[in-house]
Amino acid sequence: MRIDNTKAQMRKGVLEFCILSILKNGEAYPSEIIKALKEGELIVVEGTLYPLLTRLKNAKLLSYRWEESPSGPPRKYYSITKEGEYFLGELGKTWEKLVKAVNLTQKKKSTRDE
Amino acid sequence: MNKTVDVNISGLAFTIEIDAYQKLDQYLKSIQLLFRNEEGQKEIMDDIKSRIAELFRDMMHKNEEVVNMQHVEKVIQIMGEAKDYKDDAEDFFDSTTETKNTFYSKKLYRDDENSTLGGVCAGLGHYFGIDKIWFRLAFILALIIYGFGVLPYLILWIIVPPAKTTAEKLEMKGEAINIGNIGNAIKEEFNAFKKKVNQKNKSKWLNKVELFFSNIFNFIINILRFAIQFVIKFIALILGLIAFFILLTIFPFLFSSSFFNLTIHNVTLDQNLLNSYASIFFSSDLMYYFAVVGVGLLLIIPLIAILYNSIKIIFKLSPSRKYFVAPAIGLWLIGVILLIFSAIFTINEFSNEQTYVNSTTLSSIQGDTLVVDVLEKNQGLVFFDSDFLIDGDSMLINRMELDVLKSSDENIKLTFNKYARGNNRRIAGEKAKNIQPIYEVKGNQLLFSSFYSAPVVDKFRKQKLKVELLLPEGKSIYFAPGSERIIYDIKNASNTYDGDMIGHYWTMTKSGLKCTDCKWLTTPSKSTDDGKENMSDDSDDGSFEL
Repeated sequence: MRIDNTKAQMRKGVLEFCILSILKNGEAYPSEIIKALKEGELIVVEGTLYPLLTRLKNAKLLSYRWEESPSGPPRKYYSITKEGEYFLGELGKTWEKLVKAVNLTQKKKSTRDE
Repeated sequence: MNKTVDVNISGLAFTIEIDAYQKLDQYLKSIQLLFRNEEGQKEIMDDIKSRIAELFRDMMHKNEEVVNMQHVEKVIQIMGEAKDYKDDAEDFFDSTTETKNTFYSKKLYRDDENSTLGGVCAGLGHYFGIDKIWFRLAFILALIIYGFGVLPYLILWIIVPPAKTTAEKLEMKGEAINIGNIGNAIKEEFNAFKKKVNQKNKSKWLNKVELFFSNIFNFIINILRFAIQFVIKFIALILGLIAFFILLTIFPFLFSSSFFNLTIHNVTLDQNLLNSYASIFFSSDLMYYFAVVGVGLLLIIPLIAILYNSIKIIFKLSPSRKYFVAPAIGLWLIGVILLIFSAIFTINEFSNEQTYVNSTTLSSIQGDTLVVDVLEKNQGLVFFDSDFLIDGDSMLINRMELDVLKSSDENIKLTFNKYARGNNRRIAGEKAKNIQPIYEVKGNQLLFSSFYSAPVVDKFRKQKLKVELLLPEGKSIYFAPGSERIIYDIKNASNTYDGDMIGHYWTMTKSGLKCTDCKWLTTPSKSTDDGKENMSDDSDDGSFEL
């Protein structure tokens, strides 16, 4: 059992949740999403995001529109779809349960430790 | 200074040092390889390239600056190494999205790099995991024996694609970079089979042999698949060609002007004439155009669809066609509707039949013997065999029917029974009235054209002309050769078939027409229906005897 592996697994699980959450607040282009994710140290390298966005888009959870950029090629501005919002809502519920479960188990553990 | 190249990344131009370019190229290729079986591969690559272009643009403070190794390394640092891409993204969606085709298997390719001829043997070697020399030997051996090896080699050469891209080369050698390269059912079956055999403690050598056979099995499956593809492509090619040539033939008919000439029955009709022929049947010009456009859409759309799909199959194109299907079906249905519309309106004009009868007395006929002949023989009409002609404002319709009956008085009379159809009886009657017979009287000759005429404006409404020649008792009639074109089921005392009446003299008696110069009728006898049929078999020969 490698610690890195487990960490990566845990991170993967919430990455999708976070991307949808970011886009729920309004449309954004990949660099903005990356910035937000980097702040939370969820991803380290940018390349990871692009295949993920494409897959989410193909799963119809996201949509995008093109916008001209003053300093480079046109940018894709992603926004969340109706389906994506439903998906996010479901993930949110699960997330709350998970937090509860983790807190509960940790509390028990700490009380046992005392 | 290093050598530089100019590159275009996502529409932005950069000057880049050659070694930096190679590094970048390698980086992009390795990423591409990672996503090679992913549905959105192209899109992902475009996004990544676009971002790289953006990063470069941000780094270049002046436009003249050249992208160097440091820039590329920095970009890779930001974007992440190739392995990082998969680390986070892989398996992420496997259960939810369509990544069904993520298995990799060995594929048969031709190995151009290690080829002596077409690289077929080298490719087979990679595929079966044995040295190519054995396949070469096998083919050479097969070549010596009756030259048998040539055909399979050529077929393989044609249908097996060469390994061109890195991904294909990896597939050829079976070096799958992804886990889970066993995915298809056949292989699973073989694994199950392998397990069974494994339980029998087989040797390593046996394992190899069995692997070889499983590879052969897969190979046969592949060959079959190629063969089926080949047959499909062949059929597609044939259908495509047929569709193409039909299209080529009907396009000028529908859209071009009169440059296109069509030859039917040795008569050259130009297209305008053809149009006027067709328009004679339809109730109005509009209905005619409806019919033309309807037939056009009805034919052209499926033909184009066939052509399009066969090209797609032959050249393995996969452009999106969903934007064309609905409009095509829509147009096709419009074609059907137009045609039905046109047909209903036109058929309606055939719904009522009316007869118009008029008669005339032929007082100028001299002598007791009337000679019936055809007009065309003398005038040498070109279109003798046509059923239908247009001559200026008139339609000429072939052919009228002449009957000879007994006159109730002393006059030779002609009765014209004219039939036509129309929307209602009144219109049908008018059209019937407009039918004109074409005949001449010369001395004792009555010359009929087998055609009768009707005005073009009346359109073709099943106009029909039946002429009755009323002959007084005691008068004779002679049917000149050629008049078999016009006489129709003439009743006579001897029940002689029409064709046999030609070239003979017939006199009107109380009991009907009697032949006066027929050898076989010197002793008049009533022939039965059977007799009539027998005679019709021998109609060309007048010397038949009962």
